Amino acid sequence: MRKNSGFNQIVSKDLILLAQQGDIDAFEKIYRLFADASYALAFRICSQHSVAEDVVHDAFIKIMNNVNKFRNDGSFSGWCRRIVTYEALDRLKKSHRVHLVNEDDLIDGEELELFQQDWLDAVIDLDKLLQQLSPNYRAVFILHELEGYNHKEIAQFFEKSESFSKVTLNRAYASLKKIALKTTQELQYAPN
Amino acid sequence: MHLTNEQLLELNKESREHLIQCDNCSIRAKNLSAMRGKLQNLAEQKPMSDNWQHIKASYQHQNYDQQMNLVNKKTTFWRNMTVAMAASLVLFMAGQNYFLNSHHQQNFEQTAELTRLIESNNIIQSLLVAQFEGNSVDAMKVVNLQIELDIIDKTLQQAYLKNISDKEKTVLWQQRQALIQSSFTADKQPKIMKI
Repeated sequence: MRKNSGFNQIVSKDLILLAQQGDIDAFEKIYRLFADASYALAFRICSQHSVAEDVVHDAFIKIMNNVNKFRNDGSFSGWCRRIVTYEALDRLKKSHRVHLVNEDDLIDGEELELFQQDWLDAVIDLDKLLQQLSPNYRAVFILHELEGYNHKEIAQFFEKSESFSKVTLNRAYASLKKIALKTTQELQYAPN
Repeated sequence: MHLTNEQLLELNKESREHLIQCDNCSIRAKNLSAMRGKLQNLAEQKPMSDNWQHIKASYQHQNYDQQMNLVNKKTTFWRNMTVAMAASLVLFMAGQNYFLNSHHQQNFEQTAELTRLIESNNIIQSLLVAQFEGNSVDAMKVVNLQIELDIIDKTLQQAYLKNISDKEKTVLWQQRQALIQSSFTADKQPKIMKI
């Protein structure tokens, strides 16, 4: 997970207990802690402000309705983050009919040049670049590289194998490189 | 043999050992690390508006709907109970007519007492329905009452079909009334007076 992610914040046990007793003020405090991080995660996956806001709305209703199912066997912020992630991926699947990489496509031409240079160096707006990735590439990329989920966890989110996550991430990087180089080239040849 | 991109993206113990001795893979790993550094520093996106009031309203609305559904289920149960009660009364009236025609005012006072008991049963049942609809009631309490009332009602129906004595029927109606009365919350016990 990114160091500056809002999901790094720790929620006190007392606050969780109050929320589990249905205290609406406790829910508001939890919302205030994670609203920005939830929105950022949802927006980066779904790429639309209105959809991201809907995701946050529905995810928090789920958090409030299911808070009693939280059993303190992990961090509360991690539990909330998973709910937001599932909600965002659900929206993505519904709105884009996300094409998932087939297991047959796993044998792929390996591009050893992919990391021979830092092709992100010349990119000015990284967020804009990420938005140009196809929805499923973007989702896997965000979950692995920004949110810090591993391939096993991503496979669970998508109900696919770990190989699916590995191949999709690799392809997402390849696609991102292509877009980055194209964008940099366009900038170089753009009239002043 | 160099590391694949996939191996570079999620390093394990062997891959790390390989990086120490392979310059090419080491450069690739450094480039990847530099790119990841840029990704880590991406600014947190902020929502365009504060949606808490909207979320709160949706949550409270949803809860209200759930509570209303629960109340509606209880109301339906009590409406059904009233219908069952009415059916019992029809049976009773039919039985009573038969009784009056065949016995010509024999033990009329006993019958009048029975009629009063049925009326008071009806009244306190209506009061109980009103109390149940107005308050949050323990669902188990409602179900238990339903079962016990059902047993007495069936016994009563059998009593009328078998045309047993008014004295025995009176005992059953009294039991029924006592059962309903015991279901009221302590501070709302109705006082049934003889009409």
